[in-house]
Amino acid sequence: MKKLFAILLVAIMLLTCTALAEFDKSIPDGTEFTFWHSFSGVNEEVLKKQVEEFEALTGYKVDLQYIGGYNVIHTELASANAAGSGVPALTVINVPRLTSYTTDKLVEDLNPYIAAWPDEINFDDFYPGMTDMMQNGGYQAALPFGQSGQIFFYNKTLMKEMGIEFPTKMEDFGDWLKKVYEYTGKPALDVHGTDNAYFYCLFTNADAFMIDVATNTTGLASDNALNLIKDLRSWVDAGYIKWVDTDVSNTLKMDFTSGACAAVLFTSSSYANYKDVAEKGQNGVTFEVGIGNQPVGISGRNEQYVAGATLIIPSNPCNTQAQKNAAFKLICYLTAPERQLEWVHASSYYITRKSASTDPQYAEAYAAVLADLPEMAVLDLNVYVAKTKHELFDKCGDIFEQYMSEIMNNGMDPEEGWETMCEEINDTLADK
Amino acid sequence: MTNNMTAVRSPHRRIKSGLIVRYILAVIITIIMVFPLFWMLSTSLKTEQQVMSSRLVFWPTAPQWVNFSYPFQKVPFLRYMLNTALITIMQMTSELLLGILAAYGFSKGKFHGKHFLFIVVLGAMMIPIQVTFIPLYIVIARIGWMNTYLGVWIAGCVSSYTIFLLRQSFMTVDDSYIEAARVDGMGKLGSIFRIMVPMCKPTVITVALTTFMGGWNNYFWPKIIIKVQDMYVLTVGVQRLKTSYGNDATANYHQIMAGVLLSVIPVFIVFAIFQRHMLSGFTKAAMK
Amino acid sequence: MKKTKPMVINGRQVNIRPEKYFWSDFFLVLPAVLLLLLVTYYPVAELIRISFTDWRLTMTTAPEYVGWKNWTWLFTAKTSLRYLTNSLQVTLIYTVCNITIDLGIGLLLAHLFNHLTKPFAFMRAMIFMPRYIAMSSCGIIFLWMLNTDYGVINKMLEWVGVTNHINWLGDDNLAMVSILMLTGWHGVGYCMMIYLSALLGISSDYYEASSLDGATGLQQFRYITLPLLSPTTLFLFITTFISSMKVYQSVDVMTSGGPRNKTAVMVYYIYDLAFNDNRIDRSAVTALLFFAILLIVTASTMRVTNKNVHYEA
Repeated sequence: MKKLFAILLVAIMLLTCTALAEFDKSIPDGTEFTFWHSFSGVNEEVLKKQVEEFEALTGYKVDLQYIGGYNVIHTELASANAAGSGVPALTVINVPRLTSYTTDKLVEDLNPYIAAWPDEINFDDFYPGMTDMMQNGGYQAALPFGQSGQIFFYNKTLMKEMGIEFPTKMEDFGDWLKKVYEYTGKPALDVHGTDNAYFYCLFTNADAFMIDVATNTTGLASDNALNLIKDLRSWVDAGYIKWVDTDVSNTLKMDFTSGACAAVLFTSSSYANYKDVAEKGQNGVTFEVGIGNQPVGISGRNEQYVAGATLIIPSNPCNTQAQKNAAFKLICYLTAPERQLEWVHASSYYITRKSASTDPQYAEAYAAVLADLPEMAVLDLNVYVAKTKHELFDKCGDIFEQYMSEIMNNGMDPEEGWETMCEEINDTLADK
Repeated sequence: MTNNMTAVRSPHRRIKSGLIVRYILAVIITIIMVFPLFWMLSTSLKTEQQVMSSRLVFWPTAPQWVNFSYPFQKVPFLRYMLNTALITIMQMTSELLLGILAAYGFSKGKFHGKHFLFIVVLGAMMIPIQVTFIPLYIVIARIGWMNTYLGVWIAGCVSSYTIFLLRQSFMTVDDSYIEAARVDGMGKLGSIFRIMVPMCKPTVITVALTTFMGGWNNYFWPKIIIKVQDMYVLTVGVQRLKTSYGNDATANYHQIMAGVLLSVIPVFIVFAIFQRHMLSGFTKAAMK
Repeated sequence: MKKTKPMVINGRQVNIRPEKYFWSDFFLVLPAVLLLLLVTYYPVAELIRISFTDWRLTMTTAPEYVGWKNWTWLFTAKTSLRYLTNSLQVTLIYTVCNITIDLGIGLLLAHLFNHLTKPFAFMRAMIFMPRYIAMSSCGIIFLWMLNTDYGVINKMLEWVGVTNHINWLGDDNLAMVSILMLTGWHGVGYCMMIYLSALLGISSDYYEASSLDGATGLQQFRYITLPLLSPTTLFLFITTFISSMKVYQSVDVMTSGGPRNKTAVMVYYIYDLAFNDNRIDRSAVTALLFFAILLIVTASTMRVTNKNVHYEA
């Protein structure tokens, strides 16, 4: 038995060694590859510029293509992969898709690449929460690129005028909503209702998780979750909260920047845009934008989840190893602190590198970021953690947000809706 | 006398006033129906300020022709046009050719199982691509026809509707013409293309136009098969002209409309030329 | 060669060379029939096979047979039932409304435009034209016209006092109304033309005779026009029914199935299962169910209405 174990161990070590040794690092000059992305407007311009710099630097040729939102990229990628042609060597994808991509080996394990170019990628410099979310059982499916979280934007000017602070604890939340509502006569908060990612934090910080992996059932079937749903519903009924489930990003932006609500729960990457519109008073009111982290729930935590754009290298053999290598070099280039510090001005994505804020060589650039986007300092990346990695998470999330939408906006009874929702999620989980 | 006069005049007047009402109603309805197309044209000539302004601008005083260059800059628009044209031509050719041959076989041919095979053809009309797209997609993916003209073409390479329409039309041609042609030493193909097709010209033109429109306006299948930007067809490609996702409202409708307008111009031209055939052909189809 | 012979012994000629006739005519239809078998019949058989496997689009291993698992999923899983009933309901609402709009307004327009002068011919062509423009392009135009903040429709509504901008595509009910506006605009001209040609085909004798009997215009419409138009109505009903059931483009471009799945029609759901969930197997069972519904409704409509349709002698 011992012998067998030893042989096995040696075999595994040998295999890993040969795998590492055999990793072909070569990239011929003029290698061409395709890069799919989902960015538009200013973000696309910055990305284009950085890719062009990369081309000039390396001599590789990048075919940068705007495909559409994450869902469109996913659909296109899955079917191109099934066809075995037209798969890009590098693409942007959102975090929740990664789990099933890993299971299906749709993407390259990036570990050999990281081992091959350790200095270029400087892996340990990424925030560990981010890279952890992108690996599953040691399989590094992606690297962080345009990370964002679920946070609150609030009207800082209004808060000063009222002489109150944005709440940091969930227990103070109801009070705050009521005060603002009574002061302004308008909803205090707009919640993004078609993506569970945003309001899910409120639930996990109350210890109610979507999937309890041990029992393979939903953790939302708890009193905490039910109470939270009831609270939210009563706030919606009272007019404190507007649960937005149609034309969401436009509505949130319009409501917030025109003063129709005092705060929104949305993605941190809207910061630069909101700030710009609000400070210029483009929609009628001029005010200062504040950022609030998730409020501390009854669990004592105020976590938010790693989300946003990651970079993956699809494993499909229609791209050569050289193309994949060149793609990895582009990952190294785009995720380097210099580029991240440049990119943040336009995109207000989280800076994925620890050194960007600590290393003196970036001090000037970092100070410029804070001068431009002061509330970035409020963001707490230590509470930026990995979500449950489960293939059916997204599917369950769909059910979650659909029922929440029915309960909040369509008059479904909270308790009844919550019960059916939990049954349906459990049914879906049992299906696997 | 007076009695007689009114008896004659009053229905006349009624007809006339009825006609005026009819004209007014018809003009109003036509304006409503044409309005979306007018709005496309008008928007495509506006500036971004005019598009995103709270004031309604019906017609820009300074038409912005520059908008029409945007589709070519943002996406390989010329390539989309070429792709669309090529696929449309391929589909028209094969649908018409196969359709005419089969229609002749089914109308004038004599062979065992003719009736059965015709039912097979008719039955295919009941099976839309929306049902069969998954297996078809898998097959296309397996044989490596994704992102190719052939892959798009194959799903529309033959149409049972075409065969049916042409057969109905060929049936009306008297057998004696074919007999006479054979007597003159004309082969089978000769009699099909020199006798049948010219004699059924209106139907053939209608079918050709229907095929053209079907190919040019196809969306569902190309969307599934084409994943490479350079191979997009227009219907799918114009959807990519939007600039935004996420946080911002699409603010470039003037440019999108320019792209849409460019993509439908060939259809307008064909419609203007063959309008009469289109109308009469459809009427025939309904009168089968 | 022997040019005079066939005229005389026409019948014998056929008897002499049946083999040759058989093969040459058979080969004329063969390519079309083979291709039809390949691109329409074979996929249906394959669809049935897939419905018994566990096929996912992203899987790298070969799919396995799992028996009736997908079928049980289709009819028992809570998520499936919720989506399925929703998409059936949405498709049904769309189909009923679309048929009513296209046929009803089409018939009214046919009466209005039943006037054989040049201006009317021009206007008819204008009304008919949208049908030839790709639905995806029309969808973008309507998307723009229905835009909440800057769309021309909301701005025109301001003139009549509706100052609250209507969120056409975001409202549960209005989203479907928006799609019906688009497809109605697109399809009504076709119905008008077909009805019009049928109207022209009705002999004026009927009307003259009934006028002499003292029938009013409305009575003529009810007792002469409608019955005589019933074959046309049946034709339009079946074609519009099938095209309404298959609706996808307009939904995809305008609403992507939203809001809250209120416009997620059958084909959209099938597509979503295949390419968004990557569940080819589940998409296949749903597609088969959809196909069965199409077949049953069309066949029964034909059977029922065939008895009640009046064919002009």
